[in-house]
Amino acid sequence: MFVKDFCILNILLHIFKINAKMVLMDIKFDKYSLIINGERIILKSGTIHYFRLFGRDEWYDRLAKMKSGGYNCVDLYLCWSYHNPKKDFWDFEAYKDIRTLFQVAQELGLYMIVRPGPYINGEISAGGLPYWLMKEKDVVLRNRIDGDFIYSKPYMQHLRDWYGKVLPVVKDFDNLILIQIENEYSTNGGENEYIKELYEIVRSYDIKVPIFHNDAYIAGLYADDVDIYACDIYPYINPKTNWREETFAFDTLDNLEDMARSFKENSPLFIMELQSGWYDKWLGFGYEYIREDMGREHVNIMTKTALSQGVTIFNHYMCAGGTNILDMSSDEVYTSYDFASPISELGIIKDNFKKVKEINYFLDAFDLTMSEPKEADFEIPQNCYAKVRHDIINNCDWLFLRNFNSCETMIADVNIPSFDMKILPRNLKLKACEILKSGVEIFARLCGNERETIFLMSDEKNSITLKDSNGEIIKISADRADFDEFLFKDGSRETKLVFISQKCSDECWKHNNTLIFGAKFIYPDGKIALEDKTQIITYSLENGYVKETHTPDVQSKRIKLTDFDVYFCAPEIERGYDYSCWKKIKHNEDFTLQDTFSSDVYSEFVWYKGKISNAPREISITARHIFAIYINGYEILNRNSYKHDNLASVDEHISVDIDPKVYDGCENEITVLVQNLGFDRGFTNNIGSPRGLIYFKTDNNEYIDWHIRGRITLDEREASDNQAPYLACLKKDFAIPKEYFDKNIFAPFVLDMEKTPFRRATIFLNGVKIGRFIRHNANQSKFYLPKEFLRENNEIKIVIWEKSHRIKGVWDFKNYLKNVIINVETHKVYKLF
Amino acid sequence: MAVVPDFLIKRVYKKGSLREQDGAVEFDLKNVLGPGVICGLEYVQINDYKFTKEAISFITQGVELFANSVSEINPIRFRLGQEGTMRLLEEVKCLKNGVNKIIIEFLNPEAGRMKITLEDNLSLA
Repeated sequence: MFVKDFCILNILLHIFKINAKMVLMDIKFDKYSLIINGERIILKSGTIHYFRLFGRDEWYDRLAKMKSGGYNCVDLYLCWSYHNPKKDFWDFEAYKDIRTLFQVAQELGLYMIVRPGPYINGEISAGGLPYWLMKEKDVVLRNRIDGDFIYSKPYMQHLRDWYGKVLPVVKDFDNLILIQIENEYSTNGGENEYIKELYEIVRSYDIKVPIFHNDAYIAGLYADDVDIYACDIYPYINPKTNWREETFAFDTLDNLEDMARSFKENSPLFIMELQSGWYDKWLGFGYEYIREDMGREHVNIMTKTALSQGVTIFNHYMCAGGTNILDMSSDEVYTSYDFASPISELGIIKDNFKKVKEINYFLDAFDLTMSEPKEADFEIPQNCYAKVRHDIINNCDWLFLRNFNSCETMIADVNIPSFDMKILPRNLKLKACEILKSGVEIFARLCGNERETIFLMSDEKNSITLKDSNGEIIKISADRADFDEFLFKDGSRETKLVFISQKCSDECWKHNNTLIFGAKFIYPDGKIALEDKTQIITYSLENGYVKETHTPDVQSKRIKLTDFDVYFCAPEIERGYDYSCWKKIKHNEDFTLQDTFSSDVYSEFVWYKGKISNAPREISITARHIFAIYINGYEILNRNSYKHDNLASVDEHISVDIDPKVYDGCENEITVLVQNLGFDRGFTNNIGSPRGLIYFKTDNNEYIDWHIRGRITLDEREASDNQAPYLACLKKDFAIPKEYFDKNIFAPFVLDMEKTPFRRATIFLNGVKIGRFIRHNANQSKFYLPKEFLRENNEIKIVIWEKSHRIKGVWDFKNYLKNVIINVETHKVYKLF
Repeated sequence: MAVVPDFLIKRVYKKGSLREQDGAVEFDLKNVLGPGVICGLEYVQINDYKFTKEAISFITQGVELFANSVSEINPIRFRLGQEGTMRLLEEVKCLKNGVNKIIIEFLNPEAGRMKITLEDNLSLA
């Protein structure tokens, strides 16, 4: 009886809890903002890719940093192919456990925007659609071919299976605030049946939050089929051009309010992907360049311009970078997906984060959720942008002033530095005074019942004009030292203004109703991260300034790896290797090959083997993307054929002569190994264009009885000195001292390949493929060793696939590999106090 | 496949603007989509007649840009809301009564070769 009652009680509690959640998360909206449980909010969101960050610790770290930096929401794409790599096989365990991910967000008090696709783009191979889906009968991916709408019932059924796996989990979380269907979708005819059906599917799971689609074209697509209209805005897409000169790229953002209101009148202005970084490509410029090029100015201008247009829901894409492990990335991008984002791939707070933090803290200081545009009562100089918004809640005006000149410019009597933008109050009433006009920005506000302290950014060329409680007008120069302060009183009410410099604000963090100065970052639980001995100053209304000095006792670490165990791998190359169990594929009459999908081969590495006569003297070949041809184990060609242009990979068709000396009798064996760098992400091109060997023709038109198998094994291969072995594995064990796993230490480790002589390598950490090194193609020589896969005792395996003409035989090759030096080292070390 | 869906890109064409004027064929465009860069104007085809680069110019903001001078170094920056007139400088009778088909092929530095197919209805006197 007791047990039964207990069960009923549990059930009742469960029901109550669920109902309580529904009550708690009453989400409404109007033309101004979201309204949660009756309170308006500005949603300050940022994207992380959990499939590029691994496990609870990393999720916690990135989300905690976001929370401390003033974000109140995280955007999470859910990646179908990551969880469903094979048909009917689902994986939501360990670092793929989305429930744990959602719990971390919930524990930290972050709202969630969830985007289950099915298509997510995100520079993910096939845009996140599982490979196996491409060969399913009658499946038309995303119901379109070449942009034409073609409804596919089987596709919708598979999609329902995917939604059926994730939406019940999503639904369990009361911090879910918005949900997106599809992504950047369109068809040539603009048909809306698909979007409408997705909307219905989501609602069928009793998910009650507003549903939206993300319009990449800012053309109002599907605005009538969803609750809230949302769009992408990326003015910086080509690092070759100078964004500071190509200011016209901001046209859309500068006119967003008018455009978006014409699409949907009564929903809040929402930029789902507000650019806060950009991805680098193979053969690109490198993240160091992109980060420097965008600087902190770009995200500052993007975010403040969005706010000037009345946007109250924004999402920085990306907020934290990540790493492309396994076969996740599309063919455009390499291992690092740092994205030059506010939080780097390794979890480091960057300059653009510090700027975002400033804006987020300002948005916490005053409620800007209800405002209307107002005519500017001042002249706007050339190459400048200005907006005035009347704040209905605070009954004041906000000036948004932007200078796109290469010299400082006066706008509305305010000196605006080159490529800077400011948000400035006018007639803003505070507790004990009023800001009449200001040339200085507000950083943060700490507020009590009767007292408040407002931190202002010092500025040597501007001032602030105030009216005190006696009606006296006071003009204060903002050319101030850190912590210079001015106190205003009105009876028992008190307003204190404190000036701080940019440098000071960069290392200032808001925690509850205190400000902490001098920390590299903080966690929401109050832990403070330091790199060196530092005096921390904590300011609160109650206690004023409290100083405390901390001395971290952990050093950076470098582990030199050399004297590797080297063994030759890939026995598949050898003549006589048994490939009878490999799948047979057709060599077509036009010398193309049957695609890899139909053989269920989707790996990065694909092997082809067959018999060939001794007649051919030339081979013509097209393969995606890097390949080598071996006859009887002799390498004929080793070629990096990767080229990406105009948003699509471009095939290379090349011919190579065969030295007849490689033949042994009239029956010979040919092997081709192809490394593909992923599928197209499918934004503009069709996703399903096959990888591997595409075309193979000999000068005597020989048809080969090809056999195929995916993946590279790390199996050992016997070495013989009559030919150079071109695939070898370097193996080394190494230990990471225990202290670096302490929960109070944040110390990301990297593997530094810079000093190696290799052109190409694939890196495995404890059996997990964590990186691709291709010297010619990418500006990346340091590879992040994700904490999830790092242990105290580790095994690193690096597969080298190349031929150097300086190497004459196996022993030369072995020595060449054995003596390389690779460092494993900490990128930064922070101690948490 | 075009980066921008057909039905959207067609919005840049001003319906009813196709005409013969001063020995040239002209039509008007207005960028209602978003800022764009054109780094090559490859050809314009009206019905069965193809105008090559040498015979194409684009007049915008009072400046006439000739197609054979448009390149990645010297692109056309077509701002949101900006208008322009495409001029096809050959005396050819290519317009007809009823539906006329217009094809414009151009290059965008990010998306590569793009093609717009448009239609305009004319009643010629």
